[in-house]
Amino acid sequence: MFGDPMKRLQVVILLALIAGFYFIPYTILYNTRGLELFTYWTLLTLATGLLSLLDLKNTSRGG
Amino acid sequence: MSVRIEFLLVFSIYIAIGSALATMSRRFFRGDIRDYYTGGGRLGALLAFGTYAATTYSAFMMVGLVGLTYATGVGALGFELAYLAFTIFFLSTIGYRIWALSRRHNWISPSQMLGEIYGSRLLEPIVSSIYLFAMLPYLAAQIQGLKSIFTYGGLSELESVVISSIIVYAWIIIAGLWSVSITDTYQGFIMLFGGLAYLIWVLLSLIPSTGNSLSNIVSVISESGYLGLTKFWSLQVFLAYTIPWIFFAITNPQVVVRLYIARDESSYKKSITYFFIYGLIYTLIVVVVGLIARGLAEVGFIPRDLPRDSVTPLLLSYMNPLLGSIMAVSIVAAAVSTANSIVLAVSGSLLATIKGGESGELLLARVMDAIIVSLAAIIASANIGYIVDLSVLTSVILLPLAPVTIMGVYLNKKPGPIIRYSTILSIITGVGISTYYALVYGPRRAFLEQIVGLPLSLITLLSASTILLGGYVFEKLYDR
Repeated sequence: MFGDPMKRLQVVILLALIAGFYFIPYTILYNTRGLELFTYWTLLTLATGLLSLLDLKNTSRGG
Repeated sequence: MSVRIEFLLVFSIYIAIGSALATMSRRFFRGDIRDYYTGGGRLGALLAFGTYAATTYSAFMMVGLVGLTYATGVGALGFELAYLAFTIFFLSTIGYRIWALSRRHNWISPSQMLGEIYGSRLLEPIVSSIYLFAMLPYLAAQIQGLKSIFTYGGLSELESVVISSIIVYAWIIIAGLWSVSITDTYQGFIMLFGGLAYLIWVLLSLIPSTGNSLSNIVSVISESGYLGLTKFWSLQVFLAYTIPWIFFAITNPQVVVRLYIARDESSYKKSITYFFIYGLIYTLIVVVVGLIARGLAEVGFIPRDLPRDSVTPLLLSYMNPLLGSIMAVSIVAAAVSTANSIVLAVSGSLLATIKGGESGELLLARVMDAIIVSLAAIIASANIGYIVDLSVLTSVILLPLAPVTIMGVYLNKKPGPIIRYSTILSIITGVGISTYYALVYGPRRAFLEQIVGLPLSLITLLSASTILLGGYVFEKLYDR
C-alpha cells in the first residue's frame, strides 16, 4: 500500500526521536540557572537541521 | 495622536520599492492560472526560500514571541526551535516527495493534492472548506495585529485596516505568486534586518542607558529563573504549544503550496538550506530580545506584568523615531507577507475545487482574492473578537490534515473506499473536536485546556490518526 515501507518507518522513528530529545529538559534540565537549556535546544536544532539537510542532499527523486 | 513623519517616510519607501518589485515581476508571469498560484513551478532557490521564510514567520515573531519569552522565559525557545527542527525534517522528507509529485500532477492547491492522491471527490471540497474556516480568522488576526503597529505611526484603526488590505491585495493581483514571492523575499530581508537592528539597539543602546551591563542583565534573568523552565511551561502546556506548530509545514495551505514552486531539485534543496539558516538566526534574535526584556523588567526598567503583545510596542517607544519606524515597518512586512500568501492559498484551493484546477480563470481568481481580503478586513475592523481569537486554534483545526498528508504522500496506488472514507471521517472528527471545544471554552482557553489530562491538540491529532490507521488496517484485512 505504501510506496516505500522502509522510508515510512524511518520517518516515524526519526519523528519520535526528535520529539523525544526536545522533551529531555523535562527530566534533567528543567531547573537550570545558566544558559544550559538555551544552548541545549539551540545545538539540538542545529544537529537535527543539519542531519535533515544531509539526508535531503542524498535523496533523489523517487527516494 | 499625530502622524509620525519618520514612519510615513519609511513606510512610503517600503511601499514604493515593494510595488516596483511586484510590477517588475510581471515579466515572469505567463498569465495562466497555475502560474498565478504556483509560479508554474519555475522559481529559483532565492525566491522559493524568501517566500517560504516570509510566509512562515508572521508578525507573531517580533510581537508575540518577544512577549511570550518576556513573560515565560526560555521555554519559548524550545517551542519555537522544535517547530523549526520539525519543519526542516518534514521539508527534507515528505516535503521533497510532495515537490517531486507536484512536478507530475501540476497541483495548484494542497486540497486538490489530497483529493487526487486519495482519489476522492469529496475530500477536496471538505479540505477547501476547512481552509476557509481555519484561515480566515488567521488572516483577520494578521490585519488586526497591524493596527497596533500603524498606531505607532499615528494612523487610525480604519486607516490601518484599509491600507493593510490594499497592500495585501495589490501585491497579489499584479502577478499572483510571482509578485507575492518577489515582495515576500524583499520583506523577508526587511524582517531579518529589522530583527538584527532590534537586537543591536537593545544590546548597545537600551541596556547601557539603564545603567546596566549585559552580564548584569543575564545574571538577573538567571536568578529570577527565566533561563529554566518556569511554572508556565508545564509538560502539558509545552505539548499544547508544540504539537500544532511542529506539523505546521504539512497542514497550513500557504506553506504546503510553496512545496510546488521550486523549478528543479537543486533549487528546492538550496531553498530549504537557506530557510534553515534564516529560521535559526531569526528565532535566536527574537528570543534573546525577549529574554533581555525580561531582564529589564527584573531590574525595574519596564513593568513586570506587561501584556505579552505590549512588550515590543513599549520598546519601540524608547527608540529613536527613525529606527522605531524601520522596526515598525519590518513588522508590517512580516504581517503582509504572511497575509497575502494565505489569501492566495485559500483562493487557489477554492478555485481548484470549483473549476477543477487548470481550467480556472484569472479574473475569477482575482475576484475571489478580493472577497477573501474584504471578509478578513471586515472581521478585523468590526473587532469580532471571537473570530479573531479563533486564529489561536488555526493550527489545531488543521492538525487532522497532518496524518492524512503523511499517509497520502507515501501511497503508491489509489486507496480503496475504506481508506477514502476513513480519511474523510478522521478529518471531520479532528476538526469537529477542536471546534467543539472552541465553542464550549472559547478559543484561547481551549488551546491550553486539558481534556482527560491531555492538551486539545494531542486529542485532535490522536483521534484523527486512530481513525485513519483503523481505516488502513480494515482495508488491509478486507483486501485479504
